[in-house]
Amino acid sequence: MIDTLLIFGCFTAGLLGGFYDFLPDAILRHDFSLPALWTLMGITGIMLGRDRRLGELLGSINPLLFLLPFTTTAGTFLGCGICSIFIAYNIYECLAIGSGFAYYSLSSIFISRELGAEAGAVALLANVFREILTIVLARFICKIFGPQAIISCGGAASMDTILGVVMRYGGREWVIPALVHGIILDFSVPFWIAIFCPLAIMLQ
Amino acid sequence: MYIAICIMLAGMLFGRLSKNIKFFDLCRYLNMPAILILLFLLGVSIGKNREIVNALPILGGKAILLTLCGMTGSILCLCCISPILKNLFSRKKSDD
Repeated sequence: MIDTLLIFGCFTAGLLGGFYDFLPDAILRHDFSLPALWTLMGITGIMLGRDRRLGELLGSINPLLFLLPFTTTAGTFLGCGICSIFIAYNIYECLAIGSGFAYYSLSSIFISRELGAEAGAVALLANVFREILTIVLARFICKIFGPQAIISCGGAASMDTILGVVMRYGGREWVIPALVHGIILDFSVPFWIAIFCPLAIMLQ
Repeated sequence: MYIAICIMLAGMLFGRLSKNIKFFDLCRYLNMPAILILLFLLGVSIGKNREIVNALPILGGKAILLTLCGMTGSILCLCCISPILKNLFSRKKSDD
């Protein structure tokens, strides 16, 4: 929760700094987001590569567990596809935003670069809301739909921020499925965005 | 975007090869600052654009709608495979 507040705080600070022009000219005139993104991707890759759990987990899991991330992906795309009927974005823009799966930092940056700052802002808000709503409603979701629904709603965050909630309400047996689910979705985010963004630009 | 994915894959390979070098454990402390810097820069690019700032209340509504639709869709699809997952976990428990 503190991380989420920090992220909201940094985003808001940047927003206010940009709006009231109280930042150094270099930051306001030049776009440093691309080198910063490459740095983040490099760090994420190194962390994944060094993670000893990754190999162990992939070796011990049941193939049926792969159904869970597949279902989350299909369901998210179904919901976002239907949502495109009601809002002023085309279906591929909605799918690109939905394919963040609560991985707000990376997805919003990719989408703002490809589809513009407005879509990037919606992606950031939508994916932050997904994580926060999952944490807030976890007890309720678990009671009605079962622990797997918390994992599915949490999307890519099921491997970090949602994991504690999954263990608390669902039990330890759901921790490995949550990790596998999160790792697969986390890894799939850039690929889905790379597929949907060019299609969204074609329809604009 | 593909450059970014290639950098991540190269990072994974590098991370795998440098698994025993303790120095690179420091990377986990750099992840959050890198995210915060990126989001700060994203905030700056949105803040500079007056049209978007004025439209933020509407964007928030769209974001909430997309979130709720995505979550509802996930739960609906999950209901279809729930029996399979329940069987899988009840079998695991009885094996234990």
